[in-house]
Amino acid sequence: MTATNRGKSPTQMAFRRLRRNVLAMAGAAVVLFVILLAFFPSMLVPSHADGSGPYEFRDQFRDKDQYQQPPGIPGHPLGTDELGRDVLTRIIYGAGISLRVGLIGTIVALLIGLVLGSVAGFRGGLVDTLISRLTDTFFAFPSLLLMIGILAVFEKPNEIVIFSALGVVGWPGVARIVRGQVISLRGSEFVLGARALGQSDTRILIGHVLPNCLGPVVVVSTLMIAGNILAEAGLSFLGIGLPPPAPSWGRMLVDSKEYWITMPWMGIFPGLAIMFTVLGFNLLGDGLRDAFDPKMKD
Amino acid sequence: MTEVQRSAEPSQPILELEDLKVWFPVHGGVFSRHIADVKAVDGISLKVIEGETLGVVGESGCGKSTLGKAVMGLVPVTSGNVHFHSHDGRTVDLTRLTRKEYRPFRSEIQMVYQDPYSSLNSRLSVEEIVDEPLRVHHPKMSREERRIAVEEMLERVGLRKEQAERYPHEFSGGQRQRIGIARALATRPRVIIADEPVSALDVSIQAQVINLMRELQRELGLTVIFIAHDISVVEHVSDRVAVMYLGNLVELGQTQEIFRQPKHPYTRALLSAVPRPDPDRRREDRLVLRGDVPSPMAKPSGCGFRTRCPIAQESCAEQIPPMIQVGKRQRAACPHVEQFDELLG
Repeated sequence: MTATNRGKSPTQMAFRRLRRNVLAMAGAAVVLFVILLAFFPSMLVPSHADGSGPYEFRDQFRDKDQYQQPPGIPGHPLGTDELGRDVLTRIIYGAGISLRVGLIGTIVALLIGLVLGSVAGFRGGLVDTLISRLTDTFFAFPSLLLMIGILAVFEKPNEIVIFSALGVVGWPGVARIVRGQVISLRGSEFVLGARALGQSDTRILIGHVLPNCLGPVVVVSTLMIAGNILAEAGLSFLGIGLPPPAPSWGRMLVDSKEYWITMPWMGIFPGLAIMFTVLGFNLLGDGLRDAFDPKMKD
Repeated sequence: MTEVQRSAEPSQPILELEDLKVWFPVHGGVFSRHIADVKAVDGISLKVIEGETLGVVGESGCGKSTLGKAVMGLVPVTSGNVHFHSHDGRTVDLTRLTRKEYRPFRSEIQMVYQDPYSSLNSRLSVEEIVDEPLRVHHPKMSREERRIAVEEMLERVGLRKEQAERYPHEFSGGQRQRIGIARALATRPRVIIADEPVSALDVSIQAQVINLMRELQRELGLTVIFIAHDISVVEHVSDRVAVMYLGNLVELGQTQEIFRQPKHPYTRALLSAVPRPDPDRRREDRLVLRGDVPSPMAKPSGCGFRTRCPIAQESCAEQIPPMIQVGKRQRAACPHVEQFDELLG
């Protein structure tokens, strides 16, 4: 044990290991960059050709003189689309949507999955059977159909509804992992010890069991964010994602499909944006998995 | 051997076990019917005297750990009672209490666990680990009071107070067990149930932890139920010894008496298996058991030990033999102990 590990909790040690993982750090850099884009899009949007300020979101970034321009022309490094909208600007504004879809979907999935999974694992018996069968049912049901069903209920689904629907589809994965973790921890001696101390079940679950599930949950969450970004693109592609004006990356892909021979940049760049973001989250997730692996030693 | 004298005066019992049974139902078949019971503890009666160390020995699977857990209310008790004499003069049957009702008594009865690695939550610092019992049982104590109490307790078990902010993974097995002891003692309990507290430790460390426990017991006037499978350890720490076999008590008595003159055939076999540096001891004196312990799911009728007993009689199958007086302060569950030598032939 090195002296630098003195007084460090297992979580702190896991993050130390993560920082030494080059790939994971590369992933984290991509993720950080996307977060930056999402929070400060206007600062990073390129100036208009005539030197005027950042594009207004409302205008949909249209440049009425520069329809369908290929990448590299002044003011439009990634070209413009069929309506004269700057592709780079839309991608930058799309980062916020992708991040929100990833986070909201994952948070909803975590809320449902953590509660159901931990209750099933901790209580066992009939409660476990019921929740587990419910989980299985959700797993077996075609998720796309479920999504379409949920979205059909709402007349005009907004962002929150669409993103939450992703969480409703994604929770069984979380629930299963949490349940397994809780079951393996439930019988451990320190849980028995907390019980012998007179701690209530709720306290034991929140104070002792769940913190020890943290690693796997962080890992699935990160990977799930990536999955949700992809899923949103897929939904947009099917026409049940965000409605047209929104600069969602999936939406941009859909819009590009009629022009892919004449204007391939319309699809290539949003596609690359999705690819790098998903890759970034996946690398980070894999790195977290390694860092939280109990078998890992410094 | 001065310590052995300390409980020469028979004093008040603090725990009284009456025909305690812990059976675990086994379900099987297509409809998960109840097909059998694992009789982990199958009718045990004994008194634990205040201030003594009662050693509980037996092979693995004989139910000694379950006995401890039953007293702690950690396993459902099938039948029987555990009377506890609380410090406020009340006597309660611990087996009849709900978890909530048991709670106030937990500050008086605490447990030390076998595995110092899995018994501490690795995500908590040492301070948080030792602090937890205080938070549960003394919610009125201030943060500062608790911090002082934790540091005092750490020093008491031979750790430095600066180590309070460290995490369990930074400590060795022996140190971790000290943390476990500090946690158990935090609420100043009167009874400590030590479930194989040293069997997971290196032999060189075992002595340190055992001596620490004995020291603390003397200082704090603790009653200790010391569960172990290592007979030499039990001989070293206990005032009295209870020998268990297949969920039953087979012999109970003063440590010296039992080790000098074991009466029950099982105790004799158990003790003759202990290597002793005695050149006069002849090989033939050793009593070696054949076969395995029967499953606690299918116990033999009558005396559980009869299938391996060298002096088993036909009558042994009829009923579980009651404990009879076989020495001054020694009782054994075998009606044939006096004829042991002639029966052995």
